[in-house]
Amino acid sequence: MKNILFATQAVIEKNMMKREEYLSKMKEYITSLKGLDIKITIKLHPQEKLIDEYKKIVKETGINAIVVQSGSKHFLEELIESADIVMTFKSSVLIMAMLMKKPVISIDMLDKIHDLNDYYFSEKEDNAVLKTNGKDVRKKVNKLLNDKKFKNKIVQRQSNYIKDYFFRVDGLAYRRIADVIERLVN
Amino acid sequence: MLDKTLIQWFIEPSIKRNMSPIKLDSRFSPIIRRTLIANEKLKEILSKDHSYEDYDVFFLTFTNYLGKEIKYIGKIVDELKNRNIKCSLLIFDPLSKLSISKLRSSENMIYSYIKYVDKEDVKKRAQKISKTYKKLNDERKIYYSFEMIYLLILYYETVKIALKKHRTKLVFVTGDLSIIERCVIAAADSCNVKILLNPIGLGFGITDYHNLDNLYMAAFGNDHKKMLLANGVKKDHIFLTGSIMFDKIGSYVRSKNALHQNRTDSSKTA
Repeated sequence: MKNILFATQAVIEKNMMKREEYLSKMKEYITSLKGLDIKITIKLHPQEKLIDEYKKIVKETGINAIVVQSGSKHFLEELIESADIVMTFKSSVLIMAMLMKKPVISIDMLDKIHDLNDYYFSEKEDNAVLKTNGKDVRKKVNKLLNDKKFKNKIVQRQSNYIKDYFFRVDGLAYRRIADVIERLVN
Repeated sequence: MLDKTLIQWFIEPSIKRNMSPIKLDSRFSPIIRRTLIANEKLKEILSKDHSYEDYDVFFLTFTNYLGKEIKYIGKIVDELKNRNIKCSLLIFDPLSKLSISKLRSSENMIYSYIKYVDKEDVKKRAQKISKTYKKLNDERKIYYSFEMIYLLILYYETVKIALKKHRTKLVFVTGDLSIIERCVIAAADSCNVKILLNPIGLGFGITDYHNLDNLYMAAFGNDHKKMLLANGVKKDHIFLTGSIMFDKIGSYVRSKNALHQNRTDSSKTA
């Protein structure tokens, strides 16, 4: 059985979409994965207040899934590490998963935001990860689960993207920024 | 100078990203708009008085980032304090919130400087600008309402006062996505105070920086640098630092790799 991490965003809390519309789409995505040999971990954004609604969706669809929101210091990192595939909307989790060499499926739920031409990362990032408008989530998950060559190709593409976009991801950006501030104020 | 063009610079990126401070259905309600002002007034009443020290650096942050450690910027603040650079936080409570306990307990909440602003003048300026948008009848109505423009001018002037009072040399910001962040950036620039920006969100890059002489960028990498140059940031104002947003995962991956390396080395030795 493979692990799927589905990291959501505070779409309702940030007034980006109406509650009913959002929940209906979520239900659609989750239901579409029914029958696959997977366990889904639905990880909520810290600002989200709909945990009971997600639990209701899981119960109604009868899918093998758990809903979580917070935990230990490296809760999210550990969830990504134990996942075989990471599904998310356009969020920082997407980058985190790429850094941890996990194949990512980016769901284009918020059309209005994703359609911005000048949205940072858009072109390259969209070419790096698997993108879907939500209609073929199952197809994409299936392909990643069963086609090793394809999965490796996606992970490689993601790694190339990370190399181009990030100077270093070593946990020490704070120190380099402190160096810049020191230089600018003196 | 704070004019109609600058107000548009504050507001337009938020409209583009559909980032409304209030619920979509309530945008047209005059009562809700007035509640916005009342909510901010309460913040002024609840806030503690500010300190009177000089600070070389102010870190713009929000009440929802305050906890055991200050989200994203905590390590930079500690690092600078170790280097004897005087720094402090400049704290806003998001427009959609009223965080009573944090307002009561935190120093240097922006609201404690409002008392120095000429509110009558702010009101007149807001009326003048908002009048030109009176005929709007779409989703932009809340953004260009008298209430929103009043708050933007008020905070713009308040930030300027805070920076002057503490003789601040630099303001560090973690984004330009919110109206408040752009308001702070513009206020600092107008006082010739340097601004250093290292964004924490992926929706970065929707702002035009051509008119900001004092803006410096801590860029993620070379591709980010190219984008910033195209958006008007001066070449010698860009530093490659990486992103603080990914410091936590960077440390995690590094420690995992080190652990893996140690295990490999041990098994070779054995």
